[in-house]
Amino acid sequence: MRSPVSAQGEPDPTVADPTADTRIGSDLDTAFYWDGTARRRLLAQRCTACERLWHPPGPACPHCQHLDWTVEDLGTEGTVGVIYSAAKVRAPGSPIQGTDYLVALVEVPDPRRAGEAVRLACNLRGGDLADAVIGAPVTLTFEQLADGGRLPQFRLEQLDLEGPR
Amino acid sequence: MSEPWSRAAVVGIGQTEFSQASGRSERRLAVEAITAALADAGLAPSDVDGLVTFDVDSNDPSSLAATLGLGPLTFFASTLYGGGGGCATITHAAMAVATGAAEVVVCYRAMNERSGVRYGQARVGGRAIPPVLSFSAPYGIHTAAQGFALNIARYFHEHGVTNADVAPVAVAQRGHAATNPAARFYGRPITIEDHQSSRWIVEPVLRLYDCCLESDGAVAIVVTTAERARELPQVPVRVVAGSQGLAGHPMRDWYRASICSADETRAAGERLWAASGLGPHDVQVAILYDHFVPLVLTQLEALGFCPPGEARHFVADGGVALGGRLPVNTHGGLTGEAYLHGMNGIAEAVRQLRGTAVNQVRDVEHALVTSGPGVPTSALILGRPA
Repeated sequence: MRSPVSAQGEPDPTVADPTADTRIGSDLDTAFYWDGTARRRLLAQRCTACERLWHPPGPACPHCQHLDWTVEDLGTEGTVGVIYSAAKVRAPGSPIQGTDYLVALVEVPDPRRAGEAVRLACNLRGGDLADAVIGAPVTLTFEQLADGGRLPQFRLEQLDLEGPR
Repeated sequence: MSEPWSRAAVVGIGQTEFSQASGRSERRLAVEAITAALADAGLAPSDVDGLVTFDVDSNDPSSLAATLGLGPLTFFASTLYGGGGGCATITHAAMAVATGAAEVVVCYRAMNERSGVRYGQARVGGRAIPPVLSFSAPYGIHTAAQGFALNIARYFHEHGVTNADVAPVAVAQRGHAATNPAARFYGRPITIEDHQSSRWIVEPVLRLYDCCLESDGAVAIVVTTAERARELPQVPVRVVAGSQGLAGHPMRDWYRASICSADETRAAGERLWAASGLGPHDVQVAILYDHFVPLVLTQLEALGFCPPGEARHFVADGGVALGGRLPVNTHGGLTGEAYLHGMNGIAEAVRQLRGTAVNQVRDVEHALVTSGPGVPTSALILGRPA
């Protein structure tokens, strides 16, 4: 593996840096979410007033400003989402993800309210940009983090396994 | 025009050279630009009673006032959200002189953004990722290019746009830079083919030539009252209207119903049109923040120059080049002249209104300037003397 620091001593952002501090930061508003992902559950807040979901976590419902909420369990490994936007980071890349990785927004449907969804940023695994078609289904997975937590991610569904690829 | 806006004018502009490595401190760069701007205005440092900069500038008003021996000052401020705050420095200054909080306010931005800390590179390490960034940074979404790519990819999808459709904007701006001796790409125009063969930064939305030119340098702009301006040597440029726009923080706020229109620019623009009584047809030249060229398209739509999704037709066939339907970024923009957080674009608008631009547009009555979309932003209309 190449060094994350160039010969000139400058950080080389094209190389994933094993020394980068990638610990997730959480606070009183977001801790429940990361506690959930550590247990392989994808959670979101549901407003007790307007009953809509919101993400990312925060102290008030962005739809109606209500402060009381319950936790909705959106699923675990294999839960299906839909690609809302996707792109491939070439260079410069990331000390965490390296280069040539897919970034995406995926919508996970609200299990109780038809037509509504929460949108999450993620990486797409198991395919390349040509597979990352907006509107395509993807499945939830969790990646282990060094600090013991887990990061929710999505895998591209290979729907046409019989066809040419 | 709303009456308070008639009370402020831009009377001086100054800048350093734009480079990859200035070899001088950011404080030194600020001093050079400010003294140049004051000389241009025919004013002395002792005339200055206000300073406005960006919150991300390393030179806060106090340290700079001490360095330059300014003072006492009666107005000082910094604007929020990095490159979104450029036009807002002028608006803050204009409001200060209109209300009498100050009489001569200098707005400035100085940065060694290329030789120092680069915004185009990920900065991670030393401590845990902040809670608000923990929903993006772990996925390798650190820089503006990486964040905006998801908005732009969705824009491309919804409106049938491809990266080739934005090439005419990049080519027009490099054409403007090619004839601007102050531009880092002076003498170096590009073709559509050059653009389309430049390497991907984020595929399939941003190529190298879609990204702004990280630069070292400084720009300063002097604002005073309309009355004081009449005694000064330069043709005063009126601050016709100024506004800010906040509609989420798109670089990491992908959770609104629509993420691919420049809603912050629309908010700022609608306020400008309402405050000035002007509309897109009253503007002869536009300086639209081009940290990333595809966002010039979304700004044209948000400001009402064309309907949503139609900007690719507006920019085609030289539409935003000198001589086109709306010349945009006649200095070369942030992709052709330099990335000075948009302060260099405000200086270009002033030159266009004075009639001293190297790529001068004929009969400019009003110039529209925007700051960075994709973050909470700001915008200005500058005008010729009444």
